[in-house]
Order: sequence, then structure tokens, then C-alpha cells
Amino acid sequence: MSVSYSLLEQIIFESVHYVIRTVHSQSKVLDPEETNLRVKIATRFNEKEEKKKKEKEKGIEKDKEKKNENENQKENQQETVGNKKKDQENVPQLEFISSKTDIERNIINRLEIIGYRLGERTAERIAKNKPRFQEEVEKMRFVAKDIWTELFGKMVNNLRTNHQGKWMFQDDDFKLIRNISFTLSEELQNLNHQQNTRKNQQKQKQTTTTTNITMTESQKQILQSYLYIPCGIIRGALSAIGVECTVTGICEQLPACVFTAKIINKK
Amino acid sequence: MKIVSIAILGKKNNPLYVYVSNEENKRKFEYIIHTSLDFFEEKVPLISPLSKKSTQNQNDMYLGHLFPTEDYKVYGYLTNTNYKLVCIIDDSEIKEQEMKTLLNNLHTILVDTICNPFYITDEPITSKTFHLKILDLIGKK
Repeated sequence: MSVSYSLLEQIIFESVHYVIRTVHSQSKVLDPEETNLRVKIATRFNEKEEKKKKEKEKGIEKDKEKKNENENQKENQQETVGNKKKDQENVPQLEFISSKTDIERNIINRLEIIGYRLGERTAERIAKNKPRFQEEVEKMRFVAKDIWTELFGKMVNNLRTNHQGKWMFQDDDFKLIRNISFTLSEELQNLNHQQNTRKNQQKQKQTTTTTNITMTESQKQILQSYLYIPCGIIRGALSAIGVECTVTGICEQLPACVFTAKIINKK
Repeated sequence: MKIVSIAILGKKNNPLYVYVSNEENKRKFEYIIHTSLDFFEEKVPLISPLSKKSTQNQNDMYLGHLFPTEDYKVYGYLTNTNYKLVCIIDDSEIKEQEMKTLLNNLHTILVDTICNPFYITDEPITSKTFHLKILDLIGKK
């Protein structure tokens, strides 16, 4: 079994490293094709909205333009990665406000699906020899104990519920992120600097303690990418047993992370 | 003892795989498999928590009514992950243990197929090796 763990770890690490490299490289230097696409989409949006405006009265038009400008400002403030500001000026009028770009969402989706398929298949294999699950608790325990021991060599440390469809799997020493260490690379320094400057402009405060907080925030962002696959694993295993849910993962301190599963009730 | 038909149904009762030994009666066996779905739902709540997951489904009476001239026995197996395995037998002489092992082996083969990374879940199983394995399984009996 130890051989299979190392293989699994290798596969997961390689895929996640590749993804993280692409995400950070793209956040720094935007792909020219992507920017062109975005500009095209933005111009089409603009054209549509201009047509709508022309059909209505001028007074209402002016109000709408003002509202759109306000929305743009809000978008700019919500974006967490500073380098994307240039692109936002070319994409002023979107119908939805998103804090993550399309690329990131695409990658997150793909990572989650990798975990989903993994979870489904391991659940099939392990559930073959298990007695039938009668209650939800048993199903959650199955994931927390059997799947975790099969994949990570240990059980989940704490399994909690709020009795309203939310289950929390807490692992105090999560295998996949245990050996991660952070070094201040130039990219991170640039990221933090820009975050700091924008925050200072907004709040008009200059305190030295903000640097520490932004460091951990950016660390958390990076760590977040490693947690999508285990979220998918949990979701896949549960859906194989028959429980539909959405899973999110948070890592506060480095080796300890919490996965929250919200059950989707179809009524 | 002759196995006339084997079927695997997915979580939403969609047929994933149907094997019929006699191609002429395929429609009839598909109909039998479809009617056996009701029995899966009937039998499931009767299982006590301590018993194992396999259900045995002897539909003698029901099929006796539909086919007064022929004898078929239908056995069902419901996995933990809501896959339904159905096995239709021609003769009437079979031990429970044999059927259990048969369905257990069938379940193993199914799990192997599901773990295939090229297999998309809830799609019909078109793998040739799967088909050959099933034929092997039936050939042994």
C-alpha cells in the first residue's frame, strides 16, 4: 500500500505544481491571446449595451452609465491580484461580478474533477466489502475513516456536523500539504507590494503590521490550490455512496485543514 | 443450470450492460429485468443493519404468473453504491451459495471496469474485456 501512496502523491503533486505554475505565470504576464479574447468579449458586451441604451430615453441612459462606472470601480476593488488592473480597463461592463478569473475557475474545475473521479473510484472499491450504509452518519464516517486511510494513511481527526446538512472533516496533519514551505520569491513580493499599495489607497492607513497579514493571505491563496483535489475526492466518494454535496476546503495553519461538505437536499 | 441473462443497471436504473444468451428472446429478458426493478425497492428496507448487502430476489411467483409455460428465476444484487445486478436463470436447481459467489464475482468485475479511467460513469459499458470476463464467468458455471 505504501507504494501506491507515493505514486498517488507524485501524481497529485505534479498536476498541482503544473497548475500552480501556470496560474502564477499567467497572473503576472497575461497571455496575449487571452487578453485579445477578453477585449473582444468586452467590446461585444459594450456594443450590446450601447444598443440597449440607444433604444431607451436619454435621461435613463445617463443614469445607467453612471451606475456602470460605479460597478467598474467596485470590480476593480474586489480583484485580489493587482496585475489584472490593466485588463479590467478593457473589460468595463460585465454582467456579473467575479473575484476569480475564467482561467482560474477553469483550473479549479479541472482539479476538482480529478479529485471527484478519484474519490468515486476508491469509494467503489472500498465499499464493495462494507455492509450497507443505513444512515448519513455512517456514510460520512465511511469517507472520514476508510477513504482517508486508503488514500492518506490516517483517519480524519475530527468529524463534526451542525445537524442541518453541514459536515466538517478536520485533519490536523494533512498529508498533501504537510511538507510545503514558503519562500519569499520576487513574484510574491510584487504581489504583496501591490496589495499593500492598493489597500493603503483605499483605507489611507500605513501600518507595518499589514505586511504580515498579506503574506499569510497570499500563502493561503497558494495553499487553496492544493485543497481542490481533496475536496473533489470527498465529493466523489460521497456521490458514489449516494450523497450529493458541495465541498470546500480551508487551511488556517499549515498542516491542519478543514473540509466542509454541504449536503444538497432535493425536495 | 443455465444462465440466461445478466444485466447491470446504474444508479438511476439505466441499463449499463445486458447480456442475453439467446438473442431471439432479448426483448423478453429486458422486460423481465425492468420488472425486477420494483422488487429491488421492495426488498431493500427489509434488510436489517447487520446483514450483508446482497439481496436475493426469487421472483418465482411473479414470473410464474407471466410465463406459465417457462421457468425463470431472477436474482438481484444491490451494491452499496446503488448499482443493481440482475441474473436470470433457466433451470430451477441452484444453490444460494453458488449464486452469491457468481454475483460477487460479477461485482468485482464491475468495480474493475468502473476504476478504468477511460470509463465515464453512468454510461453503457462497451468494453470488450468486460464482455469476455462475463462470458468466462458464465462459462465456468
